[in-house]
Amino acid sequence: MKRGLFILLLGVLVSMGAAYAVYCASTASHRAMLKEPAPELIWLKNEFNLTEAEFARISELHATYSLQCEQRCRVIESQNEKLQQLLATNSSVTPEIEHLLAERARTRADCEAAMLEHFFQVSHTMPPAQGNRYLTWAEEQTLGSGKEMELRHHQ
Amino acid sequence: MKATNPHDAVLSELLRLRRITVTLPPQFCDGVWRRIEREEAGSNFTLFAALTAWIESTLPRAQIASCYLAALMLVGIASGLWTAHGVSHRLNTALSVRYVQSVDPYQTVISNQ
Repeated sequence: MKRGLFILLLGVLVSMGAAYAVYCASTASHRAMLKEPAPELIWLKNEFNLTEAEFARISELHATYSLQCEQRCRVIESQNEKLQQLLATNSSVTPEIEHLLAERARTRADCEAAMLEHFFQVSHTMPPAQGNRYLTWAEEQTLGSGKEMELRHHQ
Repeated sequence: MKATNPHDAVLSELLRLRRITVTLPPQFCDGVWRRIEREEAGSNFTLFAALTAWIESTLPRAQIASCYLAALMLVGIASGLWTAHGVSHRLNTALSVRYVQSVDPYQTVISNQ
């Protein structure tokens, strides 16, 4: 093979090899994260610079919260089913429907209160600065979202 | 242009008096045209040939070859870093959304709609 062309091709191969090696090295931690059972918690650990002890405590809190959240979701699901049945058999808002709507709203409010309580617990597990940052971020992402409903009246 | 050299005048006279007695081979003209066509077709590859010749004459020089390889390696490193940065950023965003959905069931409902 001609020497010049060989060097030309070698350059292209070196470039591609370097790009691949750097890409693999730079994304290794993320790829390892995705293999974990709860990558979102590993993300939380990295994002808020948590120690192993803090991470273990937060994982425990998260597991407990998730279990309780699931139970509340089941309650809301059964309330929704009841409401569907009542709506199918009634043509006006009966006291029973009103009661069920209030009960469902209360369960939903309990959900939000429990979520907020979970955020406080998690933030208290973190160092103060990180805890405050987490709390601000979590509230913005959850309770702060969904303003579209209220804002539609301003249009 | 007029010939100023006396030898040119003699040569011109000789050429004028010369009679061609040799006959051309059969299909001589066709052959000439074919050669002209071949030459013209070959001229399309001139740029490629020039590039190849330049590569063959320039790249094998030790200093140029090492500069070329170093430059391409830097380009590769920069490209790898840039791609990895984009992928990491997208993954971080996706995981933060996943965390929010894991604590706020209403977010799951909204995102599924």
